[in-house]
Amino acid sequence: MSRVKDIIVKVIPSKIANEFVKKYHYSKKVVPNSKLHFGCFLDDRLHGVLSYGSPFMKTKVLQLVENSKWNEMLELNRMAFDDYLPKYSESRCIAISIKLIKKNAPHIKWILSFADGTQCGDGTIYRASGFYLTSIKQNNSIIMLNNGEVVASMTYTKGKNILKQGGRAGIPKDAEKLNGNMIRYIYLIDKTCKITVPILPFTKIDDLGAGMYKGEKISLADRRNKEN
Amino acid sequence: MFPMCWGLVKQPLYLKKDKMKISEIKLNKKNPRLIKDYKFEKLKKSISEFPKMLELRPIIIDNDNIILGGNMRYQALKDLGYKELPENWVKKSSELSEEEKQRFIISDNINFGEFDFEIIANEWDTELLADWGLDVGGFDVNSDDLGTDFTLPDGDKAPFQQMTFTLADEQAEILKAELDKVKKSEEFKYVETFGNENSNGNALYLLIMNKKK
Repeated sequence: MSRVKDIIVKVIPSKIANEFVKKYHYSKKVVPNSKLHFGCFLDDRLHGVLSYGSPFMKTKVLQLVENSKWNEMLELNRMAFDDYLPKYSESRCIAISIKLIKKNAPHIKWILSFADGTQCGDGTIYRASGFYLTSIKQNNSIIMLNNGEVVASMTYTKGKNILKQGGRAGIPKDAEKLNGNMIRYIYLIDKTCKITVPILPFTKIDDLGAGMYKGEKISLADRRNKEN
Repeated sequence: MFPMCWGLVKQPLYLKKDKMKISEIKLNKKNPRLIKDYKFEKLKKSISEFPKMLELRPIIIDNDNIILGGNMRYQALKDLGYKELPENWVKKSSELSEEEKQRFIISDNINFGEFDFEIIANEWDTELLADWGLDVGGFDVNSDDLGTDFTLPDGDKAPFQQMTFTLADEQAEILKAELDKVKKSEEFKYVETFGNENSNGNALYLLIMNKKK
């Protein structure tokens, strides 16, 4: 019998959350904007982390849902789990975290999240958690450096690295662009809110060849066939 | 005269001749394995609590006493203060060719299988497993001290924003000097702050407004 229901979700300090993300998230990187972290516990050990915060370019993001005010939304910007948790734990933890957001911050009306269809997956967990699919975009912003490290190109066009390059923004010459997709999902906590962009059917993922599961390119249809 | 029952006399567990000096064994310089500090501590703990494991899985050495398998265990034993090892903790493998030795070093460390954590979580005592040195994943965080309450800012955005610029050292020097000059001016005392308490921001605003005049 699965023990998904035994999972306990609590608010955890960012220090612990960040350490966990660095160890278990595929990117090994934390998002500095994260300000609310939930820890997922089973058998008295922390086995998962969900981090919420403000999105990058928030003014633009707010336009995705009608009449959104500055503090009415959050981005679920990191989700990391180890292998210990049973199947379907991720959806359960998302559901609990949203429940806690509803209770403690009732002014939050919607959640934004992105699935990294270049390195990770197309968002199976979001779809299972009731998120709407709102965009599938070719992602040209992920690069692999010659030492194998994978980073967002933004790392080189904004912030500290500009200084390293004498004020010039530029991606290292030997960096390789990774092909993939950035898949955007929205969850409406307040069901009366209206998403201003078209809601896409999940089949669009296969139509655009954007299917990915655990870092492997595979369509939703092929995954379904494998399961059956 | 030897006693009649000589053959039946039980020998002390480890006679001098049954032991091997740890200094006679040599670490393998080609060993490609590493061990992190906390895992090394786990290994030491495991050996000191369950030394019988070394009888069941001895350190493998070649004819020159160079370790082919068990470099970490050897280091752990040294660290635990062992000067001599019971002979059955060490096995000499003299039949291997050079190529076979190399293959053994790698093959001995390949984990072909993996743990089914669903079974681990349901059928085993995970605390005990962690105590035995198995990495059951996750972090040891006491959830009893944690809660489920939190607050987040409400309403609209605060009417302030931070802007970041990158300046050349020369540019920065000039800008700083200008800001300092403005801050010392009489005019600065009456600048429209819109509630902003950041003096650099207000000085920059005054500089621009004066420019616009």
